[in-house]
Amino acid sequence: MNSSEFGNVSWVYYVVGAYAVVVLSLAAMTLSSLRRFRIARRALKEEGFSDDKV
Amino acid sequence: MSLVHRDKSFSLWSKLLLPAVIVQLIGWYLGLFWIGADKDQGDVFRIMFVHVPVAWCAFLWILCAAVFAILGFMKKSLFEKMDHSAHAAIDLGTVFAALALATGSIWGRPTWGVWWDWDPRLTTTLVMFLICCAYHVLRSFTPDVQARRNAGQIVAILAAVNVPVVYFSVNIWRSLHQPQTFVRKGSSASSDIATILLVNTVAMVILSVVLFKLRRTVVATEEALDAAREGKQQI
Repeated sequence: MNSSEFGNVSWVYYVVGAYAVVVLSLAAMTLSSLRRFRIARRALKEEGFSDDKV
Repeated sequence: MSLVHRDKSFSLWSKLLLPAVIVQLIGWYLGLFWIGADKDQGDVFRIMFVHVPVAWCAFLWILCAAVFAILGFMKKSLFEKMDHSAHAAIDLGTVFAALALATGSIWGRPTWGVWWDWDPRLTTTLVMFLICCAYHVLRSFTPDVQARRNAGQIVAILAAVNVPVVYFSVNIWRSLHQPQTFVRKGSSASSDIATILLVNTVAMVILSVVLFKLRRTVVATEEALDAAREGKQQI
């Protein structure tokens, strides 16, 4: 077995997988937070509250 | 009428987002392509440059949540603001704990031969993650605002109590997981590895602060919306 392979799987898959999990999770968290903020801010406006400081 | 006040420091920190992303990309480049393979683990050790920073961010935000909770209990005038901060910090703690478990599991498969083992470090990290999940469950199922905040603050403090247990678990019990390499004198880790790890950690902490500010704004806005709707219903 090649020293850089584990079973039949190259180390590349593990490393890329680990980095991809982090990047995608943080990106998803950021985008979902921005979306929730926009929805909540719009709803606040509709309820009649000023959003000048929101 | 304004219910939510813009977090001025959010604007300040959001300006750091781009530099932090650039530093993070440089850190990942150094970890993935610049530094040579480890003599024992080969190239798979490069997972360390993402696994360790997310694990430290999990510790950081869970400890911060407890500090916010304690400050909220100590100063009643700050209770609401501290509750928002603790909630946002636990949000981040949950995500980073999940990421630490996921990346650790991906690293464990090629180095230990298993995706998961009931090792003290892994088990205590899982407990820490589950306490964070319990925080969200408790908040979701408690209708009374004050009771929800009190219960949340107590769980945030409990989650932080577990952090030193996770951190020192590799020293207290016999563990598959390697001990803390960078706090011991005569560490086997090279200065290159330590420097790259530091760059990645600093970048991840700054990114997490920007995320924290964003989450806190979301929490405050949603709570303001709930309060506005409840106020209308009472009228």
